[in-house]
Amino acid sequence: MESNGTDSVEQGAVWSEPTGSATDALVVEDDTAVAAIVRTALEQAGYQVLVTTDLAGCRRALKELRPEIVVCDLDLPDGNGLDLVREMRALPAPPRRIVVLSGGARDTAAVAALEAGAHDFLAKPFSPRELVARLELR
Amino acid sequence: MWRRFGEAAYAAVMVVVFTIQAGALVLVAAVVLVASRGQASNTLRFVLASAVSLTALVVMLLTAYTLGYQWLSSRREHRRTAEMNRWTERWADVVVGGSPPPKPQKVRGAALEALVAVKEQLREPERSRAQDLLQHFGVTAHLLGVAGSRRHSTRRRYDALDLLFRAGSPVGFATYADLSHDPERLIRELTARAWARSLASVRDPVVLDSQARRFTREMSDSDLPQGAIHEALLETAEAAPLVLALLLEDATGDVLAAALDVAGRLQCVKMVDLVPAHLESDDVDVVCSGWRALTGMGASPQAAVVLLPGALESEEEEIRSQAVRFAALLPPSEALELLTPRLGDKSWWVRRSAAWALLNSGAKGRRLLDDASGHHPDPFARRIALQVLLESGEISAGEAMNRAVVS
Amino acid sequence: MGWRSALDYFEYFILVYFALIALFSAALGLLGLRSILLYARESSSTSVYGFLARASYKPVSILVPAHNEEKGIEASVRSLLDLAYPQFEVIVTADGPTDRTVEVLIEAFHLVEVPREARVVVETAEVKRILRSTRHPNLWLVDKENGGKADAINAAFNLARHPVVCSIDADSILDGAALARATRLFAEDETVVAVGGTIRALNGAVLEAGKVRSIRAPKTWVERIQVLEYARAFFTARAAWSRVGALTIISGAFGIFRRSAIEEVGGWWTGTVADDMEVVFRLHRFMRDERRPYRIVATPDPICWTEVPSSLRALRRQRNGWHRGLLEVLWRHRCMLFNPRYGRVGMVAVPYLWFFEAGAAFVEGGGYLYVAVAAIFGFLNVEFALMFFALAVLYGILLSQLAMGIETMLLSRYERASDRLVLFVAAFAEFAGIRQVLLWERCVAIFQLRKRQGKFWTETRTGIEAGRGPEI
Repeated sequence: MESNGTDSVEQGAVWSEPTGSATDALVVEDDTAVAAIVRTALEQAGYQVLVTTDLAGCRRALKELRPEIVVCDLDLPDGNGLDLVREMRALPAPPRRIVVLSGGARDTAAVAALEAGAHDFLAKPFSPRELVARLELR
Repeated sequence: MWRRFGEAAYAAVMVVVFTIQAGALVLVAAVVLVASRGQASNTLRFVLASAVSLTALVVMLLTAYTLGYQWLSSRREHRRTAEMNRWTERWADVVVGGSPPPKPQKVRGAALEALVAVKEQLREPERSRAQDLLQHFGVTAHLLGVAGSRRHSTRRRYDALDLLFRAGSPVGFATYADLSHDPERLIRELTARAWARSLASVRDPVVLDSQARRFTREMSDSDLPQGAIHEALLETAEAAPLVLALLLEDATGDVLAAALDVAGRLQCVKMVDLVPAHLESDDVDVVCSGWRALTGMGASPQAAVVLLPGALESEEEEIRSQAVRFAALLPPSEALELLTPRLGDKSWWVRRSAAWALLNSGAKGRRLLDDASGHHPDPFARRIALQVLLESGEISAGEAMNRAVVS
Repeated sequence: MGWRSALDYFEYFILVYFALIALFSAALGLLGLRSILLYARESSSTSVYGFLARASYKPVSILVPAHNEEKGIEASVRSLLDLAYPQFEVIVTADGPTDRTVEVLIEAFHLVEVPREARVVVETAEVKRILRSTRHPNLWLVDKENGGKADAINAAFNLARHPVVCSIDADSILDGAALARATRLFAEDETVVAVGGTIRALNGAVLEAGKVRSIRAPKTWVERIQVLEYARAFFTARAAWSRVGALTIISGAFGIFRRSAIEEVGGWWTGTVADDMEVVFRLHRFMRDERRPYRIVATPDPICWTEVPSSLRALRRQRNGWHRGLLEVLWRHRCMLFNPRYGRVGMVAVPYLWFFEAGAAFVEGGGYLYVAVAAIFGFLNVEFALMFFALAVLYGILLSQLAMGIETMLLSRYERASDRLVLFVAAFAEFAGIRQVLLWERCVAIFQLRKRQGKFWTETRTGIEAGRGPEI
């Protein structure tokens, strides 16, 4: 639980305004608490959220949806989230922003996630405000 | 991994079953022996028939119980999961979404666990909000009460301590101090890590100081296994520098070794000056942990460097091994001089560590290793040099075979 | 007197034998149950469970003997390397395979030969070369001449450097947390020298990413009956024997030992199929001879999944081998029988094995023979015989149900009611032929003791023995 210098983000971040139209956000997370937190935070920011709990569920969802935002955990019951990130980047219409959440070893996981094509990485425990802020950053 | 309830009932059923069975068997055996005299074959028939029916009945009872238990426990689990999900959503709404908190009520069971689960995943500022809720509903007080009271079953106490650990609230130190003397070893282990987490969440420096002292005193006196102490110390997180500094000054034995290990793991470089004093301890574990800590911190204070030659000649294999790894931190000119003799060490592990350290000491080290693989007088040194060169990919398998044959 | 009264005495003998074995089973059942329930208390919380695993552990060397395993070895090794365990190494021995086992491993894991002086603690068949993975620093391969399973384990053992060794079958699925629970016993108690895990039948399980997701009852009756057998063996019998300190069998499919102890007794014996049982016997003997405090325990928790024979033919071969092994080991250590020097092991466990396991084949067989003879010569009291048979069958079913009742309390259990019922029926089916066939096989095995010596890789599905279960 080392601090990771979120202070600077805190000072600059603004609660994102609801964007008006319902936009899709896909959350891939098997831990109910994390999923609930992320969902609540995203819904407050105006996104329409779908939560799936494993890779298979996510793949099914991707067949029908074109989410703008994906928040994905690395440790999923049926595989590694990195594979999912790579798959999503390879889609014809990839999500605008992919953020990876992980509870494991920070540095190695962060690098791996970014290399796989994620836009951002957040370690658990995390601040939902920071998550939303990172989703809006260009 | 076992389910959370039902074993008492099952045990009761079993005792009944077996009493019936044992009774029946004894009766059968007795009557058979009596009937062997030739008479009372009707009795025998009756007894046998009853035994058969009784056993059949008991088998049915058991099967029905098993199926019933299965059904019941599945339902119970579904309900619990549904309840947990509901409460998790609710708490997430309150903490993150800003909804008003639920009315005052007893927050227990699924509601309690859900709140703790939510808090666990959060950082500031939402984390304090969750902590306020825990306080508001008296959750921590309740958990401390359960953990501290011998009236409750051990399982409930384990659960309470586990939830306290996950909640990580800066309260309850008196209870923790008490429980660290509990006769049950598992309670003591769980207390240590809950206490450590709670310490980590204390913000007031005055409180932190006094509580850290208490904590270190108890850890020093405890007879917990080293792994448990290690885990507990790791959990002290933000409070680690203070706790470890206290331990490095006063602790001995297992606790000191664990403190050194954790200092190395957490790379608490501020403590680097407290370490060399322990490198001359009588306790082998402490010495090894000391060298390991310095290596982990990546620091090479002069006080330690002075002791290095002695450590490299130590009789204990593990000390030499750790010293070799530390030596790799030194500038190449010093390191090579100290490491080269270790290539011929009598322990395979030390030879290996030395070879790797040489390899990682830059071009000169690599050249030295290369040289050693062909020309070192000691055949074991040649072999280990070759092996490490091969493993690191510096030479190919074919080349390695050639050199091996030649030497 | 005459042959008629001799037959009478034989009849009483059978009844008494049955009563004794039933009482023994009841005692084992209750004792096993109690020890498991006490244990379950600690393990019902995930977080606590995980913590306990990390709080005290010892580094482990996992020894994997393999013969012709080209199909499954890569997946198995990969799943081993993935174990969530803090510190371990995996040493695979390719025991003179005639297929592409070695090549498959070299390709999959980038193995290279290393020139290494392995200390030879136990003599083995010639080791051709030792390989190491450049990608996974904790994976080793010993390529050697064929010498049998025990020999292969010994060869891997020579390379092992951690204080605890774990011998498993190449096709077993292991859980890292389970392994941690087992090694925790070594860390907490210096006198523990061996720990036996629990083996469960993998057949019918639903796998996902190499892990067991859920279990279903297997398809064939042969497999279903084995599910019951293993449940009885591990949840009642072994737990009970372990509780009284007289555990004599630790399955080769998942056994964990203190390396120093194995070194002292000289590794595994290559002279029998039942090398797993034999090494435990030798540990008991050695420790008691040396008058050292020691413990050999079985824990219900570290669970290992392994595939069991699915055809009657394969099962018969396996049981034939087990029975021969049992007899070989009992004979080799016959000095322990009723020898007070060996405490409970010598006075209770070993005699139990002699009379109620080895002897059971004879007595039960004799029982059937008696019934046949009596029927032919017309003095069979059909009513009594039937009732007696019914009693025996019901009692066997009772034990199976006891074990399955315990299994219900596990988190990974047979969820569907239909599976439960199927297994219940299997308890009956066991007595409707399969048990008798296996009994025959065991009797036959006695006469094959001399003939089938040699390099032991029993050719069941994968060529490696699965776990053991006593034939209650």
